[in-house]
Amino acid sequence: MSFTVVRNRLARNTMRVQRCLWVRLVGLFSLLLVSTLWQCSLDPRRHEAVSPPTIADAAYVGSQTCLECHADHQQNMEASLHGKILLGSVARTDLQRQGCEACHGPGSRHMEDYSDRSAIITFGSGSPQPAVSQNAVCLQCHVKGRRLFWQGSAHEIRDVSCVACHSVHNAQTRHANLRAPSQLQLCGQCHAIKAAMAFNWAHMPIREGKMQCADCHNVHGSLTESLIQENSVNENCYRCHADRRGPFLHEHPPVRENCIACHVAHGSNNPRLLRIRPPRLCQQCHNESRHPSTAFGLPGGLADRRMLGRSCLSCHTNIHGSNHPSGFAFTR
Amino acid sequence: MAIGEWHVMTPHHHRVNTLAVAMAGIIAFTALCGGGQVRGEEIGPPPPHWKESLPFRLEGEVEAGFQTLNGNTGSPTFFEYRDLAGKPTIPNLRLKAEDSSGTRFLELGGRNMTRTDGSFFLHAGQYNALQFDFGYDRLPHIIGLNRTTIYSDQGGGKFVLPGGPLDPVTEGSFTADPGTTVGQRNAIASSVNSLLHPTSLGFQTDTARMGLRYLPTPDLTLTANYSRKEKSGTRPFGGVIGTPGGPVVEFAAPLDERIHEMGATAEYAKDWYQLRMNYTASLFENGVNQVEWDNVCGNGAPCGNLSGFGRAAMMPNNLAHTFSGAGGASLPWWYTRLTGSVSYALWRQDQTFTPVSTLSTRNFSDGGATSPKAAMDVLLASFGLTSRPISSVTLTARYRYYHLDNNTPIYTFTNSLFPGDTGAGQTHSTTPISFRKQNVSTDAAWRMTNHLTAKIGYEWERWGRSFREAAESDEHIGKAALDYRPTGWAVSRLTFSHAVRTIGADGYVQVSPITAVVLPQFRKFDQADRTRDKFEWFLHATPLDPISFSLQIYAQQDHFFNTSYGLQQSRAYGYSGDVTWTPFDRLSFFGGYAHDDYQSRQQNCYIPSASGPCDPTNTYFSRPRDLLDTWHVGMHAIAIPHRLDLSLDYRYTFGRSKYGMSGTSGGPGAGDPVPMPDIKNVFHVVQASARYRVTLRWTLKMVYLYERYRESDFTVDNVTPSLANVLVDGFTTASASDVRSVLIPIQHGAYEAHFMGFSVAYQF
Repeated sequence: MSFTVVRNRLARNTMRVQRCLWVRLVGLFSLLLVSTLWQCSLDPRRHEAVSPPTIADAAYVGSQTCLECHADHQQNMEASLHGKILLGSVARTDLQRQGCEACHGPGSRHMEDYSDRSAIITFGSGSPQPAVSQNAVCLQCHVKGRRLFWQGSAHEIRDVSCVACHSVHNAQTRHANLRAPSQLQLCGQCHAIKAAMAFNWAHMPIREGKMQCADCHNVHGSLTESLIQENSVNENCYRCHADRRGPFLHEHPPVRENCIACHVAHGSNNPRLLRIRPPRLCQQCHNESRHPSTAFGLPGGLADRRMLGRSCLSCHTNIHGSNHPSGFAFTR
Repeated sequence: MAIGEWHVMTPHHHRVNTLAVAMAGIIAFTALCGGGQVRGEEIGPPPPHWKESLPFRLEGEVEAGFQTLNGNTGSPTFFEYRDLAGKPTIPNLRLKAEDSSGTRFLELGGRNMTRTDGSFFLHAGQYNALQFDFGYDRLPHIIGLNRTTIYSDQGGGKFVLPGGPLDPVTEGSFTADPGTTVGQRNAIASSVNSLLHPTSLGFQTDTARMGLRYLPTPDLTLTANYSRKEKSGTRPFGGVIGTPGGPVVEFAAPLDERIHEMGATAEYAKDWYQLRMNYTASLFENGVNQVEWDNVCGNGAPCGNLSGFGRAAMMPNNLAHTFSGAGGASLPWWYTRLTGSVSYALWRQDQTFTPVSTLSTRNFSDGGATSPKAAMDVLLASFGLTSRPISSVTLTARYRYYHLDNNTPIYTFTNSLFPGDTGAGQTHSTTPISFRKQNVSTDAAWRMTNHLTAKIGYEWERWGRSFREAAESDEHIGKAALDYRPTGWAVSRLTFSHAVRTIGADGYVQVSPITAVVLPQFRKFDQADRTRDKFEWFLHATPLDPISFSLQIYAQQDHFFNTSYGLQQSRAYGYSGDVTWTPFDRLSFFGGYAHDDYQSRQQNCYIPSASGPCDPTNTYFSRPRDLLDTWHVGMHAIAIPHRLDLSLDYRYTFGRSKYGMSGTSGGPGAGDPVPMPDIKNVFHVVQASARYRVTLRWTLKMVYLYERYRESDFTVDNVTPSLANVLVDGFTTASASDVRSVLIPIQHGAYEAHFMGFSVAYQF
């Protein structure tokens, strides 16, 4: 066997020029960001996009005062992580040291008039504060991590409040304080069709409790389509299916560009979560001569080895990419 | 239980089930007679005396019991991701210790700890300052039960036929063209069946994770983590001998993979800006580099191969480094927030090439590179701006640039061979594809009144590709949405978008010699001109406190308006409804229905030879369609407050795939294609659970699960390992390659299972 190495200069040069351009743009943005941050640091004003609600003319009364009336919350709170920090001895900021009033605001006016709903910060659909203000309370502590891109995200612009999914006082899960026993049930309240797809014959282990919606999606906001956690759909899949990352000697272009060109991640009636079954799936892109263009749909054609079992993939097993010198057809 | 074992009722199971029924009766009797107020506090028992003597705080739950399985469960679909075999169980264990000041903690435990789908965890640290996490998760994946194969696994990915190729003599079976005589088919099938022996199909995925999270200051978070995922077992692997058209064999290829991932993150957050830096390294290791398998015909001209062996490469080891930074800042104008993310990844793979030929006489020297030096660099830059110039208007702008740059050298191999060392030594060059994708989007939301918000938006997406038919494409997307909240207890949301994608000025060109005969009108759907329309409506309401319901409808249509051959159109639509009724605080009912429908239409043309052409009269249409209907109803009752909880849930799922065909296909056999038999599956699930608190600390739990599954799939039903006599929809095959093929058909057989779990929990 012998080989020659040829470089596609035109395509690579074009890519190189564009890469230089984007390096410059990224550098310019970084400079702009640093400059903005420096200028903002000189401004004593607060810069929050939306401020938490404030209660005028109110003073802090202390968590013990709250618990005199709200003793039913005490045991659950003291056992929770929120309680350990807000009601325990590990608070590290002035806000955390306020205990119950870190979230519900200073309670002196609430003590004077329990019926005045504007005298205390409440959460939920019955709260007089809009969702964006309620969320601002939570974001005082939880703005980093997975909430970095919350503002402007799909859920935020639809006025979904934090307490629509989370409950500090009545959580049904230890992790993330969810309102439902599982993420599938919680997300399925609005995304019922996607939740129903988990009960397809071919599925990821979501309904068995071994995977969660948040394993793939960052529900708090992401700069990738469909709130995917990673930089692309494919990079998301590679976290568990790193064998498909390659790179390979022989690439299969639609595979490299987008896994969901062929697969349906939420569940499918077809094996291996395929959108439709081969050979039809493959024939949407392949009509080359001879067997790729065969109908396989004649009377008798159903008993063909290219229709039964794994169909095209019985021969083209390395369909995601091949590292074999003779793997141009993904059969090796 | 080893993967592939059959589950059969034994006298032991009968005794256990009797005991289970007895316990259920005890619970019911106690519930009826023993109701009433629990002694002591309704919520939270006082600490037991033994805890007070400890120098630290201790709490937790310990739950132990057993599970039983009854019925016909010999289907891989039932066990796919679960371990429900009868055995003692520890469904839940959690122990948490804290120092007397409540600042430091240690928590450990697990779920289903005796099962192959169990998990374990450990957390330790100081609240709000430092935390160490460890987790171990087990996940089985059963692919096939009670499968058989003709191959013996010699280890190292080598599969041999005991005793050599199949008997070549009888009725001129494998060595001569088998033709279509019944005698020849029977001889082949007999040869195959005589070699069949059991094999397992499935693998276990075990993942261990460790992480450290440290907050030196409230604003700064440092994390480091490592995970190791191991997959071991077998999976079906298909091999073909000869040029396209050779017989297919399947065997249970070994799966021995590990994914190591390690990373570090530093995040700094103030009240108006946040910065995050991250590094992740991911290493994929495959313990199996290649598989080899004996040709069922041996070596020689029959079955068209020279070596008597097939060989294929497995997934190569690979490595990825990812550097990323992200940040957000709230600017002092118009409640504006700026976010951005930049990421650069290096993907590398340099596995030594698998030798092209299995014959020493044809193992040519490499004459140069022995590995691909495959390299991809991936750049992502993404920025977003959200602003509220006035309180009722929100403006959003986003830009995203994603560039996958493939720097793998191009190789031209002048002696490519098909498995079995067949083929005339073809010349093929590699195509290191690259692509870049840019998205610009902007939208404006206007809260017109307290009840009505309207939103419009526009997005532009551009793709640039190398080595593909469409070098460039642009898509323009217009979006609109309307949110209506007529009252505080109802919300309705309507969204619509229309998109048009067109190929760039360079048009759509053929890039590969193998596709030269393909009509210029043939377009691949991921690049083709297309319009896309999406519609979605969602309604959620709680008109009265005890009742809430939601409705959802969605529809999407893609029309590939310049595609004559290939995918021409696809449609997806669905609707769902859910209702929850809580007549009393202690009783709630819920139910729902969801329907999902995906259909498409594609046109193909049969091309009989490598030089073409397509005969336009041999044009056929395929109309795949997938439907899913799901019903579910259930109830939850607090039968006795703080004592007895009951829940019951039933779900019915009906899935089917239809493949309509029409036109004139030409090709082998010629004639008009006919619709294929529907592929259907029906799934019933009943789940009941009871939780009875005997005392404030002791709880009895019972879970009952009934599942019934039926499937009809012509691609696997009635398919035996030997395809010599396979009969599908009343027809058989006359192809020599079909008759010589040997598969491991994965039937998803029907099952009906009764699962029960009993446990006793102690909380302290």
